[in-house]
Amino acid sequence: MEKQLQQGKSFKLSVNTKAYIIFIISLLFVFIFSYTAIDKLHHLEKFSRGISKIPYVGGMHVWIGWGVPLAELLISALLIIPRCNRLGLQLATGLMGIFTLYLGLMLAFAEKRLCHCGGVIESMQWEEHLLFNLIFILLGGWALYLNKNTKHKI
Amino acid sequence: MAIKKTVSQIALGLAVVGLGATASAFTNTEVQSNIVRYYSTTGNLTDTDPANFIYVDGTSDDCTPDMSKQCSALFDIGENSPEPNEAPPAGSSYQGSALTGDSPHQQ
Repeated sequence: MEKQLQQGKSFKLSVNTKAYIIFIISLLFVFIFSYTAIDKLHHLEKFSRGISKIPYVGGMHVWIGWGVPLAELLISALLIIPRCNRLGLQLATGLMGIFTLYLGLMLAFAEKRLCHCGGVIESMQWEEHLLFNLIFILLGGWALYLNKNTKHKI
Repeated sequence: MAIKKTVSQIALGLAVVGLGATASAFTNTEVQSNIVRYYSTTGNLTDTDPANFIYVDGTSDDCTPDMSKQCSALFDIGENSPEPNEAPPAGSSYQGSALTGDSPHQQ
């Protein structure tokens, strides 16, 4: 029993290791959000026109066209600032969840699937894209879990 | 010490944003040309006006031989997507490679 506890203890991550993992996951979100946000802003007209074709939300294409990339840049900024990192991780994971929900609904119900995701991500197969998003959601969830369980927050 | 760590984390974060911006610019340069075949609606051999051409989805080549008419031509529509039964979008450029012939799309 004591031996098992010692073995279990050896798998525990140190506070510094947790902080590094949280920081690296945050940087991954910063990279992907800044990459896709800049790509969407660069092709704003095309992105906005693409959204206008999506049922139910098409009428808000101008707001969504500006809102999504600006939200991605804002979340990137929150992730970079250490004091706002936890809020940034929550918003990043939530936004990735919304994107994944959209992808899931498209895969399940839409005949003509529309993806205006920005950059090379747009060229992914739908299943690959869904897996990519799910990995980011899991990473975000893990980072939030580690952040909750460590006193030393980045 | 804590301030130094905070500043270095912010600097690293900004460097990653820069990396994202660079990657975005790099991938954008690869998708600026999109050459698509459009069908003439006039049949005029010398016509290069995009307004006189339409895109027909799924059609490979339905031109019947007629050397006196232009059947289809290529247009560079940039980063746009072709829309069925619509002319090349604004800003498209005539690329040539015209095929002669008569087509059901001519009016």
